[in-house]
Amino acid sequence: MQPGAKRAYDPIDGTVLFCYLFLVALGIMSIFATEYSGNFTASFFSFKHSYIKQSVWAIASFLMFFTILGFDRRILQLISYPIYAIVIFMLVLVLLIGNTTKGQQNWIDLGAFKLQPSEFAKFGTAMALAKYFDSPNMRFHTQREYMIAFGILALPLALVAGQGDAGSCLVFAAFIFVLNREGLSDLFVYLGLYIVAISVLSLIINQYIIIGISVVLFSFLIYWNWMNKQLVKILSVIMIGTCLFTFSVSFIFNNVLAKHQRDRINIVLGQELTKEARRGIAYNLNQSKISIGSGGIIGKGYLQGTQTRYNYVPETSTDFIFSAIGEEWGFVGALVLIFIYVLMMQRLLLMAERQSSPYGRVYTYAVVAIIFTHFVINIGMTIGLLPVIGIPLPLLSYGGSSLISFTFMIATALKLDSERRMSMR
Amino acid sequence: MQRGNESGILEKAIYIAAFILIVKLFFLQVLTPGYKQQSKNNVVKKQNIYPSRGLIIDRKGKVIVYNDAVYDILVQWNQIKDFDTLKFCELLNTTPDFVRAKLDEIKRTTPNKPTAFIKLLDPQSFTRFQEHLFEFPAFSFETRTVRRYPYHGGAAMLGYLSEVTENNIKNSGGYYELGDYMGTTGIEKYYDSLLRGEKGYNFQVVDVKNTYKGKYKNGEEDKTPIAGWDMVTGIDAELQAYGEKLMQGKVGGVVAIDPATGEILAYVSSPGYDPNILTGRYRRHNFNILFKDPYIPLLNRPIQAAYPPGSTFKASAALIMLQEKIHEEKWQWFCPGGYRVGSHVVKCHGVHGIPDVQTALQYSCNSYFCKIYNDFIMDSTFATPAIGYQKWWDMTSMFGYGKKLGIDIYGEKRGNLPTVKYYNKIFGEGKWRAATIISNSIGQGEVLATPLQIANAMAIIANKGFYITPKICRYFVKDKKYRTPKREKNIIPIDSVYFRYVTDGLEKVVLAGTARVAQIPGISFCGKTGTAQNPHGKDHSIFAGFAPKENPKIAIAVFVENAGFGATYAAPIASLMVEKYLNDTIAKKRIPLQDRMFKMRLMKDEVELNYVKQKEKLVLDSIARVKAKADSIVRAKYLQDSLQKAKVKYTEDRKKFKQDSIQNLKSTQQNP
Repeated sequence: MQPGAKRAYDPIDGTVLFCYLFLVALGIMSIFATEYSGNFTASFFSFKHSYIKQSVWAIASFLMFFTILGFDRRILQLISYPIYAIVIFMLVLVLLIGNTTKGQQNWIDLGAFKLQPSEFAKFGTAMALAKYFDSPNMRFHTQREYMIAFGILALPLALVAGQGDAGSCLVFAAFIFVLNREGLSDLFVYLGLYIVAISVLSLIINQYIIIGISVVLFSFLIYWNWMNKQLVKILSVIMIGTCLFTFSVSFIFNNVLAKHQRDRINIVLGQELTKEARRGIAYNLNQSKISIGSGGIIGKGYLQGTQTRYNYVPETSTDFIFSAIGEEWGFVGALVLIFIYVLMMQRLLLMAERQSSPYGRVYTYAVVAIIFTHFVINIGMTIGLLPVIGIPLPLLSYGGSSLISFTFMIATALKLDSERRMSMR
Repeated sequence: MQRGNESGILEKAIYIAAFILIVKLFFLQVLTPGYKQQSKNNVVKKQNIYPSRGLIIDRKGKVIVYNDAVYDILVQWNQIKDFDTLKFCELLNTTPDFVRAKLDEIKRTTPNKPTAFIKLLDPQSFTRFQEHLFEFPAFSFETRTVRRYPYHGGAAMLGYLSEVTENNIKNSGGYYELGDYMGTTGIEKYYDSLLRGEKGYNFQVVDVKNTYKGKYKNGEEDKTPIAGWDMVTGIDAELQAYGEKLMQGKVGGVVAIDPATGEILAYVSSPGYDPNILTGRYRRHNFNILFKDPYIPLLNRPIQAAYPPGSTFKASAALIMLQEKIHEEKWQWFCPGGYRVGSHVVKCHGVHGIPDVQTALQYSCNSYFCKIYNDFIMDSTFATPAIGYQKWWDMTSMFGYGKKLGIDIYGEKRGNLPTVKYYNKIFGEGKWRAATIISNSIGQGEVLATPLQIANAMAIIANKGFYITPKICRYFVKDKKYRTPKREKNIIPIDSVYFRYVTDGLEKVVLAGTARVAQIPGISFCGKTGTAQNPHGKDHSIFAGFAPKENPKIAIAVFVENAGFGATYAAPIASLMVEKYLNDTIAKKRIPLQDRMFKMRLMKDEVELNYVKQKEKLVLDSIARVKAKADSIVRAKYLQDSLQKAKVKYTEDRKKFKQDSIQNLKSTQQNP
């Protein structure tokens, strides 16, 4: 850095900061709304209330936010791998000594604080991946580079899968967007979509019909492209893969997935449910839809949501917080919320692209992918578009681990953005 | 050093996903109706508030029916924690099996709501349970009211309440809901809409665990209940209880009417039952016992049992004869101890010499009344016997025979006064004459009347020519406002001179005639005994009368099945009741008679009863079986064979019954 040169520090991005503060504040407000008993009593500030705890977490988050802004980006780069190592260690630890709630063994009891390592693993993995892509001579086209990049993702993915945390699995799977940005062929993304489509179809329709259709279809395609040996080869592989995959889907569905997971998928696919599922998860989802639907265009008004306040919707302060917002603020409120998320992600993407180093770009891009996955799955499940998967709404849902983890991610992204010119070495 | 795909898929994915979410939200929040209602249904619960049902009060201001608090024990299944089942069962007097079965049922149906676990628990058991209620967290209670009957009687007229059926709900115009109680029989049913008052309700906001969270809209849409009207009846509670005591162990009915007003003073159906057993927790159990009882205590005998009126019918016959001037009052007829019809003789209870109408009534001379009946119908002023019979029918039906009188209890029977058309159908047009149907003259044969009709006919004679529709209810009262049910005055176009004449005859019945046993010191009691012939068992004992002779205060009819002569049971019972009503006490010299009546048991054990019932059925069915030429006396022969069979069966059954009797008794004595 030369003396007298143009200031190397840019101010941190105001839009993202605004979105961050907005979401945290709305989160505390909404958590308060779900617990508000109708009158202010002496125990209003009691620590047993989630909104008080969340406020404390928010204050802690702000402190960390500014701490991170004080770091040098080189330090951040330096500690990337150590952080990755720590979160992997914690994920292993949670498998060994973790506590289990609702079929997910994903938290460690630290007395006052229930630590959810999977939340921090997302942050750590984003950093490690960024660090790897920042390494010299990294072109991301050799088999070795593919292996290592996928390995960095696969390790935490396997560990959270071991905890039964389907939501986090999907988050790590969403890192494919990052790899795609860095040169991985679009084909992989489309292949992923193709797999999802086949999975869904084979659960709705008889698998033999799907196999029959794909065999006929691909036979025609192969016949038409007979001269193009390369394409024939690919098509044949896809055709055989489809057949095998179709068989394996129903096998995995019936033998690998847990019963509650099958129920959750069946609800979204409109399949017949077991009695237990109708009483339990389907009832909950229906209450969530009633809650959001009854909000109408402008909502019932703040603190007036009967569905959420009287616990008809389960876990309104955590996974189903969007129900509370949909009920009290209506369609308009939901639109504003979605707009804020889209604005924040769009802004972060912009920041990723203007990074001068691969580190900042990959990291920020990964953060967007993480937020995006949380955002889509969480809102999608509360309105019945996607299976119910326990995953928090970023910055809004009650939970210290999640809030602090997202604070780390966004603060780091902002810091990297403000120092983006420094790496122009 | 940019590289890779600069326009990443992620950005497109964000926009597409946001678009899909917004579209879905638009459908959910803007386009789909019904979610608002569903959310309201979730949170707002309507809770009924039951008004107190109107009291029923007797003519002297004594309460016959009042309301008492009982308790429904509710349980909310999803809040149950482990509890001491044995203690629980002991407190509530039930079995662990019951508890388990009931909890399973509630778990299947309504696990999230407080659901009735034990209904209508009596206050004593409840107090015991309430002290330990805190040990059973998921259990709560709800206060309800049930009817209580301090006199333990009058079941047939008062009726009972029971849970509404689907049909009741449909017909109530939206008033009743599942689980409500309504009057099912008796005056409780007839005046249900007045007695019940009007339900109130409030809307409450509840959370998912059904905990109360406050009023909905500050109670704007709530409604306070309106209490029911209290009913003042014409019943004299003491007389009613006395009548029931007298009728103990006897089958039959008693109706006492205040002739001047048509108010019913006593209304006894025997065997009766304590109406208290049809309230509360064991209602169903007790109802089944009553339902299976061979004596049919649920039959409302004063208005539903149609009996041959027997000789009590003669009073109106005499009046009709006099009014139509068939014979004048001094006309006499020689009674040789019977009245010959073809080859059959209608027997008298002795040789009555040459009675005039008063003497004929006094000694209940059958042949005299057969003669005047014959002369009436065969009178030369009528072209055919059918026309004569029609005239007789018109006159008789004015006394209330063969039609519903319109008492305020549902299920009243017409009795039977056979029409011309009926006889034409049986015997053929023009092929019958007075002699064919002679037994009608003495209240036998096809003539059937309910005790109410017999009592009402006496009231007409007491009133000298009119009756007021008999009703239980006098008026309704609430907050010093009154409502009176409509009462009709029915006039019988018979000269009052004749009434006086017949009344003298009826007085002689008691003074020196068939009912000397019914004499009451200091009261001129007019009445008529009746003995309804029952050729194959004991006759029915009937008495109808009124007192005092001048300015009558009470008209009464007593019917005791299978008891013998009218003078043996019915007349003493009637006279004791009249004495009780008019004097309030029983004269010392009549106390032994009263005690004898109290003690007398005429009801038989079960098997014997079946036999008796079969016989009665044969008598009642007889009309249908006999095609021609016969009336009830001739019919006897026809019945002989079938009865013989019944007798054989009876002996066999009796043997079998004796073996099972101990077991049977046990099973019926579980009545708590």
